[in-house]
Amino acid sequence: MKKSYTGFPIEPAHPAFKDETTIWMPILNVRVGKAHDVWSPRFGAVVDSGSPWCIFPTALADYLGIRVTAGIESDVGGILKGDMEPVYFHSINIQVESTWNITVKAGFTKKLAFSGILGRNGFFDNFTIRFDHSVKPPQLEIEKIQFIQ
Amino acid sequence: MCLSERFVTNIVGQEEYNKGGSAVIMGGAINLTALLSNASRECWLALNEEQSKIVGRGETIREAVEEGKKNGVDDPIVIWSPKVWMARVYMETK
Repeated sequence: MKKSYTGFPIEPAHPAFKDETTIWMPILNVRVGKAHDVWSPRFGAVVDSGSPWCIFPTALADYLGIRVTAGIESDVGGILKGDMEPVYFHSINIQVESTWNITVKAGFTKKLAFSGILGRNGFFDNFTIRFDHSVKPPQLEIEKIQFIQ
Repeated sequence: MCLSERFVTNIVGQEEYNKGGSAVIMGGAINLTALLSNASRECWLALNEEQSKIVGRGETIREAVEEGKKNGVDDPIVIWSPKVWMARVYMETK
Protein backbone atom coordinates (compact mmCIF):
# COMPACT_ATOMS: atom_id res chain seq x y z
CA MET A 1 0.00 0.00 0.00
CA LYS A 2 1.31 3.40 -0.95
CA LYS A 3 0.04 6.49 0.79
CA SER A 4 0.87 10.17 0.60
CA TYR A 5 1.88 12.00 3.72
CA THR A 6 -0.69 14.20 5.45
CA GLY A 7 -0.14 17.93 5.85
CA PHE A 8 -0.44 19.59 9.25
CA PRO A 9 0.00 23.16 10.39
CA ILE A 10 3.28 24.19 11.92
CA GLU A 11 3.12 27.06 14.38
CA PRO A 12 5.18 29.09 14.22
CA ALA A 13 7.03 28.30 11.05
CA HIS A 14 10.53 27.01 11.59
CA PRO A 15 12.94 29.98 11.59
CA ALA A 16 15.07 28.32 8.93
CA PHE A 17 12.06 27.48 6.74
CA LYS A 18 9.77 30.44 7.27
CA ASP A 19 7.85 29.92 4.05
CA GLU A 20 6.76 26.46 5.10
CA THR A 21 3.49 26.57 7.00
CA THR A 22 2.75 22.90 6.45
CA ILE A 23 4.64 19.93 7.78
CA TRP A 24 4.07 16.68 5.93
CA MET A 25 3.83 13.66 8.21
CA PRO A 26 3.70 9.93 7.45
CA ILE A 27 0.28 9.10 8.83
CA LEU A 28 -1.67 5.87 8.87
CA ASN A 29 -5.25 5.62 10.01
CA VAL A 30 -5.56 3.10 12.77
CA ARG A 31 -7.89 1.85 15.45
CA VAL A 32 -6.76 0.43 18.74
CA GLY A 33 -8.64 -2.19 20.68
CA LYS A 34 -8.34 -4.19 23.84
CA ALA A 35 -10.45 -7.01 22.48
CA HIS A 36 -11.65 -7.90 19.05
CA ASP A 37 -15.06 -6.38 19.65
CA VAL A 38 -13.95 -3.18 21.35
CA TRP A 39 -12.24 -0.71 19.07
CA SER A 40 -11.50 2.98 19.18
CA PRO A 41 -12.58 5.29 16.40
CA ARG A 42 -10.09 5.68 13.58
CA PHE A 43 -7.36 8.21 14.13
CA GLY A 44 -4.16 9.21 12.39
CA ALA A 45 -0.95 7.89 13.92
CA VAL A 46 2.56 8.97 12.97
CA VAL A 47 4.88 6.33 11.56
CA ASP A 48 7.97 7.15 13.60
CA SER A 49 11.07 5.00 13.39
CA GLY A 50 12.64 7.29 16.00
CA SER A 51 10.27 6.03 18.65
CA PRO A 52 11.20 2.77 20.37
CA TRP A 53 7.56 1.94 21.03
CA CYS A 54 4.03 2.52 19.90
CA ILE A 55 2.61 5.21 22.14
CA PHE A 56 -0.88 6.57 22.44
CA PRO A 57 -2.59 9.17 24.59
CA THR A 58 -4.29 8.01 27.76
CA ALA A 59 -7.55 9.36 26.34
CA LEU A 60 -7.63 6.35 24.03
CA ALA A 61 -7.21 3.98 26.95
CA ASP A 62 -10.01 5.80 28.73
CA TYR A 63 -12.21 5.34 25.67
CA LEU A 64 -11.50 1.60 25.64
CA GLY A 65 -12.02 1.22 29.37
CA ILE A 66 -8.40 0.29 30.02
CA ARG A 67 -7.23 1.14 33.52
CA VAL A 68 -4.02 2.85 32.47
CA THR A 69 -2.11 2.71 35.73
CA ALA A 70 -2.62 -1.06 35.92
CA GLY A 71 -0.13 -1.44 33.10
CA ILE A 72 3.62 -1.89 33.24
CA GLU A 73 5.04 1.47 34.27
CA SER A 74 8.02 3.04 32.57
CA ASP A 75 8.92 6.53 31.45
CA VAL A 76 9.90 8.31 28.28
CA GLY A 77 12.90 10.10 29.73
CA GLY A 78 15.38 10.85 27.01
CA ILE A 79 12.58 11.42 24.57
CA LEU A 80 10.71 14.02 26.51
CA LYS A 81 12.47 17.12 27.69
CA GLY A 82 12.12 17.94 31.33
CA ASP A 83 10.65 15.76 34.03
CA MET A 84 10.08 12.07 33.57
CA GLU A 85 6.59 11.29 32.42
CA PRO A 86 5.13 7.90 33.22
CA VAL A 87 4.12 5.59 30.41
CA TYR A 88 2.00 2.54 31.11
CA PHE A 89 2.30 -0.39 28.76
CA HIS A 90 -0.59 -2.64 27.85
CA SER A 91 -1.07 -5.36 25.29
CA ILE A 92 -3.47 -4.03 22.70
CA ASN A 93 -4.60 -4.68 19.16
CA ILE A 94 -3.97 -2.21 16.37
CA GLN A 95 -5.94 -2.26 13.16
CA VAL A 96 -3.89 -0.52 10.46
CA GLU A 97 -5.68 1.17 7.57
CA SER A 98 -8.63 -1.21 8.04
CA THR A 99 -6.42 -3.90 6.48
CA TRP A 100 -4.03 -5.43 8.99
CA ASN A 101 -4.41 -6.38 12.64
CA ILE A 102 -1.42 -6.66 14.94
CA THR A 103 -1.04 -7.16 18.67
CA VAL A 104 1.55 -5.00 20.37
CA LYS A 105 2.64 -3.84 23.77
CA ALA A 106 1.98 -0.12 23.54
CA GLY A 107 2.50 2.70 25.97
CA PHE A 108 -0.09 5.18 27.10
CA THR A 109 0.93 8.61 28.33
CA LYS A 110 -0.61 12.02 28.84
CA LYS A 111 2.28 13.81 27.21
CA LEU A 112 1.67 13.38 23.54
CA ALA A 113 1.29 16.23 21.12
CA PHE A 114 -0.18 13.87 18.58
CA SER A 115 -2.94 11.28 18.45
CA GLY A 116 -0.59 8.31 18.27
CA ILE A 117 2.88 7.06 17.40
CA LEU A 118 3.69 3.83 15.58
CA GLY A 119 7.20 2.97 16.74
CA ARG A 120 9.77 0.26 16.26
CA ASN A 121 8.73 -2.33 18.81
CA GLY A 122 5.51 -3.90 17.65
CA PHE A 123 4.99 -1.89 14.50
CA PHE A 124 8.22 -1.74 12.49
CA ASP A 125 8.89 -5.40 13.23
CA ASN A 126 5.61 -6.27 11.55
CA PHE A 127 5.90 -4.14 8.44
CA THR A 128 8.45 -3.09 5.85
CA ILE A 129 8.13 0.61 5.28
CA ARG A 130 9.68 2.77 2.61
CA PHE A 131 9.69 6.54 2.85
CA ASP A 132 9.91 8.41 -0.44
CA HIS A 133 10.73 12.09 -0.13
CA SER A 134 11.68 12.48 -3.77
CA VAL A 135 8.06 13.36 -4.55
CA LYS A 136 6.00 16.22 -3.17
CA PRO A 137 4.15 15.53 -0.97
CA PRO A 138 6.24 12.60 0.23
CA GLN A 139 4.83 9.08 0.27
CA LEU A 140 5.23 5.98 2.35
CA GLU A 141 4.88 2.45 1.16
CA ILE A 142 3.91 -0.19 3.67
CA GLU A 143 3.83 -3.95 3.39
CA LYS A 144 2.98 -6.49 6.06
CA ILE A 145 5.73 -8.99 6.78
CA GLN A 146 4.51 -12.56 6.35
CA PHE A 147 6.11 -14.64 9.05
CA ILE A 148 6.58 -18.31 8.33
CA GLN A 149 5.28 -20.41 11.20
CA MET B 1 -10.47 25.42 26.14
CA CYS B 2 -12.11 23.25 23.59
CA LEU B 3 -15.41 24.99 23.15
CA SER B 4 -14.52 28.50 24.13
CA GLU B 5 -11.03 29.19 22.93
CA ARG B 6 -11.76 29.60 19.28
CA PHE B 7 -15.39 29.45 18.28
CA VAL B 8 -18.24 29.57 20.72
CA THR B 9 -21.08 28.23 18.71
CA ASN B 10 -23.99 26.00 18.47
CA ILE B 11 -22.62 22.55 17.97
CA VAL B 12 -24.73 21.52 15.05
CA GLY B 13 -23.96 24.04 12.33
CA GLN B 14 -21.32 22.59 10.10
CA GLU B 15 -20.06 26.03 9.16
CA GLU B 16 -19.20 26.74 12.76
CA TYR B 17 -16.55 24.02 12.73
CA ASN B 18 -14.90 25.00 9.53
CA LYS B 19 -14.39 28.73 9.48
CA GLY B 20 -10.82 28.30 8.38
CA GLY B 21 -11.71 26.36 5.28
CA SER B 22 -11.56 22.73 4.46
CA ALA B 23 -8.80 20.27 3.83
CA VAL B 24 -7.00 20.48 0.52
CA ILE B 25 -6.53 17.28 -1.44
CA MET B 26 -3.31 17.31 -3.47
CA GLY B 27 -3.02 14.36 -5.80
CA GLY B 28 -4.30 11.98 -3.17
CA ALA B 29 -2.52 13.72 -0.30
CA ILE B 30 -4.62 15.36 2.37
CA ASN B 31 -3.45 18.74 3.62
CA LEU B 32 -5.14 19.59 6.90
CA THR B 33 -3.26 22.86 7.42
CA ALA B 34 -6.12 25.25 6.71
CA LEU B 35 -8.70 23.12 8.46
CA LEU B 36 -6.74 22.59 11.66
CA SER B 37 -5.12 26.01 11.89
CA ASN B 38 -8.45 27.55 12.75
CA ALA B 39 -9.99 24.69 14.67
CA SER B 40 -10.56 24.53 18.41
CA ARG B 41 -7.51 23.59 20.45
CA GLU B 42 -6.77 21.23 23.31
CA CYS B 43 -9.65 19.01 22.41
CA TRP B 44 -10.55 16.06 20.24
CA LEU B 45 -11.94 16.75 16.81
CA ALA B 46 -14.03 14.44 14.68
CA LEU B 47 -13.52 14.62 10.92
CA ASN B 48 -15.61 13.24 8.10
CA GLU B 49 -14.43 10.34 5.95
CA GLU B 50 -12.65 12.60 3.46
CA GLN B 51 -11.08 14.57 6.34
CA SER B 52 -12.37 17.69 4.66
CA LYS B 53 -14.64 18.90 7.46
CA ILE B 54 -14.75 18.95 11.22
CA VAL B 55 -18.02 17.39 12.28
CA GLY B 56 -17.55 17.21 16.03
CA ARG B 57 -15.36 18.15 18.95
CA GLY B 58 -15.14 17.42 22.61
CA GLU B 59 -13.05 17.24 25.73
CA THR B 60 -13.09 13.47 25.28
CA ILE B 61 -12.95 11.20 22.26
CA ARG B 62 -16.44 9.97 23.04
CA GLU B 63 -17.85 13.51 23.03
CA ALA B 64 -16.26 14.27 19.68
CA VAL B 65 -17.52 11.02 18.18
CA GLU B 66 -21.03 11.54 19.49
CA GLU B 67 -21.13 15.03 18.03
CA GLY B 68 -19.88 13.68 14.75
CA LYS B 69 -22.69 11.14 14.75
CA LYS B 70 -25.22 13.88 15.44
CA ASN B 71 -23.85 15.64 12.39
CA GLY B 72 -24.38 12.59 10.24
CA VAL B 73 -20.96 10.94 10.32
CA ASP B 74 -21.25 7.52 11.93
CA ASP B 75 -17.57 6.59 11.86
CA PRO B 76 -15.57 9.79 12.14
CA ILE B 77 -11.79 10.01 12.19
CA VAL B 78 -10.70 11.62 15.42
CA ILE B 79 -7.65 13.75 15.99
CA TRP B 80 -6.17 15.47 19.01
CA SER B 81 -5.89 19.20 18.41
CA PRO B 82 -2.98 20.43 20.53
CA LYS B 83 -2.48 23.92 21.90
CA VAL B 84 0.20 24.50 19.28
CA TRP B 85 0.92 22.43 16.18
CA MET B 86 4.60 21.57 16.48
CA ALA B 87 7.14 19.66 14.44
CA ARG B 88 7.40 17.02 17.13
CA VAL B 89 5.18 14.37 18.56
CA TYR B 90 5.96 14.63 22.25
CA MET B 91 5.10 17.51 24.53
CA GLU B 92 7.67 18.86 26.89
CA THR B 93 7.11 18.28 30.56
CA LYS B 94 7.92 21.01 33.09
